Amino acid sequence: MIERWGTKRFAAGLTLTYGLALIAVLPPLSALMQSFQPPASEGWSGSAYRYVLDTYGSSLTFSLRLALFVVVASLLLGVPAAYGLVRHPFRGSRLVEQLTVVPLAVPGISIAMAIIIGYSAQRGQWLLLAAGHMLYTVAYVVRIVMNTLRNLPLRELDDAARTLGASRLDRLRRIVAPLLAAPVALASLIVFAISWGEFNVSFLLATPTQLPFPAALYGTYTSNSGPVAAAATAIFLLGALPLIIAVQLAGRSRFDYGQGA
Amino acid sequence: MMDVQERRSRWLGAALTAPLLLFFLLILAYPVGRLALLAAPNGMHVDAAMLRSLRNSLVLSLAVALVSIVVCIIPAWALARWNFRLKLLVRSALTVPIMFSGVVVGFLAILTIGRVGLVPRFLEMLTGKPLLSGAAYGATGLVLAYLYFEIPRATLALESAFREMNIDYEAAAATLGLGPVGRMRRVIAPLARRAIISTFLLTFSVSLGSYGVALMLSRRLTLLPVDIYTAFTGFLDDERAATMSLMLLLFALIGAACSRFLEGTAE
Repeated sequence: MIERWGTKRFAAGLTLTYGLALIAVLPPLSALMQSFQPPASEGWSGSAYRYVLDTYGSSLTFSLRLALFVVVASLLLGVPAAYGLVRHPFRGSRLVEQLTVVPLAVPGISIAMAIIIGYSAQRGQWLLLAAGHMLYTVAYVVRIVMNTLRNLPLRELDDAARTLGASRLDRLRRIVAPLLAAPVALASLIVFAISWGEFNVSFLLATPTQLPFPAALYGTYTSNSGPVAAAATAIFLLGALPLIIAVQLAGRSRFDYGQGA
Repeated sequence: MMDVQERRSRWLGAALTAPLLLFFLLILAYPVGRLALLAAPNGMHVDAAMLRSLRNSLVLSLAVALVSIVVCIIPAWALARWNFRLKLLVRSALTVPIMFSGVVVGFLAILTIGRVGLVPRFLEMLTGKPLLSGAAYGATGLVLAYLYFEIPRATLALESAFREMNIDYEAAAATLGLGPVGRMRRVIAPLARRAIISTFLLTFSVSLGSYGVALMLSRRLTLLPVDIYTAFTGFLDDERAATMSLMLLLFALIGAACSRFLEGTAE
């Protein structure tokens, strides 16, 4: 529906949009190009990727395991809460709903400082690190699941099944679970990507033996050569793919990007 | 009978939400409380250096949010309403910078506009002078690096707000004979205003809290999040770091609260 008067504006608007997309991908692409050069200053004859995998491999596996834990734990906390808030509202449930998005507005460094000071005795425990990540990820789970529950005729389907004699467990298994599969999958992708990329909390709560990959990445920037830093960045980028898929899947649902990402 | 069922439903809701509330209490409320207790004994002493960093952070974040919102309105509208080629790819491309944590953006800034970055080398080929060389380390580079991830973030956030806007009003206005300019002024602009302000505040609040970029790039310009980091790790001054963390928290929350409030009244 573009009128003739608007053709020029349409073209200008599109140029700007394409331009932004191009600027968004050029710097990472240039990093990618650099990552294929041999890292001479490390005294390393192989590829920069080999060097990163050899030196920071433990960080990669730690981040991977941490992100998977954060996904499961966020779902366990978020999905029941979202279900409760929509299907069984209680006094103050609106307030709770508002409360879940508060962490998204809190700067990561403030939270990291607060956790360090509040739990100084437990410092260095990975559970604390996971909890810091979850502060940012739970909000996405609650919001996505709530949106689905509100928009689908869940109550009607549930009531219909009940009048037909389905037990609570049956309804949960046959009606609620299948409807929630898609939003839960979407939320999992987003949670994984946030945890994988989270720097603020990870950097301050990291220990040498439990160094999340984003914190290790900072190490490569300050102490390694260009190709190694670039290769580490490229590996890090792989973790961005779930988020990119998620944004496409999200389609029409509303979705803010808070401090977490 | 109904009453009992109703009460059971409420209890069930509260019980399902309780673990999440407990989590927030343990990981958000309690630590922030401890932070405030630590900052309180010296009377939340705020000195000139802290105020300077706060001012720098506020000015930078406001400038970045302002430029972002101006640039992102048209692309957000295009993504929400127009049909064009490679739309999926464009949206994916815009997701890339959002995913990067601040330090990655800082590193990319050094690669592109650092001393021997791509852009200065390219400009040297064109003009004979390495323009923008080393820009990454000054205020210009800092602003460009923030814009790199804030413009896409603002675009995608505004796009989803635009998509939620009801097209029926526009259709009605068109049927009643209002032209495209009139529709833009009288129908779309009033509806979009809240979404735009809310996106502006979100961008401001995120910029304020971001510290990876400044950690990589900021040489002279002091920003509040970097100051917190140096106070804590460099000078081991927990109280100072705690006071500044609370300052940062306060301003970020004010921005976000205004944003939420506007969203809440958008219906």
